[in-house]
Amino acid sequence: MAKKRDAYYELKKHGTNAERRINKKIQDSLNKKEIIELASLYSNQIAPQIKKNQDNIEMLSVALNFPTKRDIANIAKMTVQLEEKLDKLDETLASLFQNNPQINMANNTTSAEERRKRLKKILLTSLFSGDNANEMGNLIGKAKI
Amino acid sequence: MEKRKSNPKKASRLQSFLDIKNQEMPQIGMTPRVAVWKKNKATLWHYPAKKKRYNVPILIIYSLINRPYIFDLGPGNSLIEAFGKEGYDIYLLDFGIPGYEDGNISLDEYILDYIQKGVQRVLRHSGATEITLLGSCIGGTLAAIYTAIAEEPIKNLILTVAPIDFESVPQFDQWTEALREGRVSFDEILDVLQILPAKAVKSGLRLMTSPVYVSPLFSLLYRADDQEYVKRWRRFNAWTKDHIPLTAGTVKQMTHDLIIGNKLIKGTLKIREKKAKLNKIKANLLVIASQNDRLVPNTMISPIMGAVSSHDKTLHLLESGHAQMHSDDTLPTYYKEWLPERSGPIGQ
Repeated sequence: MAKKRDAYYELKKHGTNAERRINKKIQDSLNKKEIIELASLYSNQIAPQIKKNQDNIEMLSVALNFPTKRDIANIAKMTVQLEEKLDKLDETLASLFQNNPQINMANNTTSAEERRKRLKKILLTSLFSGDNANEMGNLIGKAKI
Repeated sequence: MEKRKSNPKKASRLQSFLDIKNQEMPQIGMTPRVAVWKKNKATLWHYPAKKKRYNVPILIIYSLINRPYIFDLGPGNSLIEAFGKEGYDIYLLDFGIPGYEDGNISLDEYILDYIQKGVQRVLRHSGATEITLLGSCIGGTLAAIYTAIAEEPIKNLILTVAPIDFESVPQFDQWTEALREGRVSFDEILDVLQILPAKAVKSGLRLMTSPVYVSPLFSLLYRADDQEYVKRWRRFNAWTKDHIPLTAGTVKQMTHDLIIGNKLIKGTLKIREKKAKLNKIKANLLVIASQNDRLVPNTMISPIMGAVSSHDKTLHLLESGHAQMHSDDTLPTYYKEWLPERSGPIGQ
């Protein structure tokens, strides 16, 4: 309670109240349709100019052989696509392990080569059906992966 | 000279205040964590419980405009730490800092490609059969939308200061009206820029809450001799300034679907052609609103109570403002009383 009477407390109290009043005035004075309409008008005027400049830079980048932000964005998007493919593969593997507990058991009892063959078989039958699985199996077998 | 001598405590407080800028910045986010999934700039973090006491893990989904370390500012200043001490397994989906290349990411992507995938990852990583979602601010809006279309088992949904009904937006009602009348549009500039820079996000939010923002300095001066308070203040102050950019896709969808159309509460919102109707939500619901929240007042939050199909639903009203700093190492009472029996206590 003693602290409440000190100058710092009074400063905090009155300062906060003054801040609230000033903020209300600022917000009320800006809360007008004309202001946002003006902002919209201005942004719609400059947007085509910015777009034109961006397109010109793109053109220039072809001649001068430098990458633009759009090039970098495209690469970044491809990376995300790759991440999504890896995620899908990861999810498939996780569901395989969940639905085929024998894979986990095999880890403890068989050699690495046998485990690889067994995993390949389950993967192929899960990812591809019937003839496709055999065909893919041959291809993978030939590629020795 | 005499005056200063007569009140040495006042002088020392002022001196402490002036010295703060020379002191080392206290560390932020110190609760041990492990990354369990990453996509683009997003990371799903796992904060293991000290001694796990509940089967249902909690996934925190935070806003798109600030960094999520508000949940873990420092020891004794962290909601995540408090949850961990109580025996909850916590996961946090940090969306990261978007760049120009993410301009086309909209609410659809955040909900289906990040939140839904994140929930699936949490269920797989934890081995749990159900999950609690804790969404804060816009993260709460996203959590509610996701729960409305979720195929995953969402046991509990906790929403803190999450805007749901955009019928009456606080402050700047004239601007909202102009948007709804179709007299203004910022789509073209957003398409060109692809991203709303962090500085613009910060300025916009300041304008909506406190264009002049000096009162925190008065609070700091008043308690400058309290070292623990100063540490907490500095961590919180760093967070209040640490905004992140918003993608053009998100701003456009929020403007058209939420602010202009108010589609979430009206039940007409679609997320990638899926109807996101709040009446599909059956999870146990805890909604937390703040009486002094100038950014998201209770009128924007409480309408969810009548819109969901949940039988078990609670609205808790706090007296604080929008950003709630967790300032001790115990869980707030409203979590302590509501969450345990709904989180599958181990051994019961």
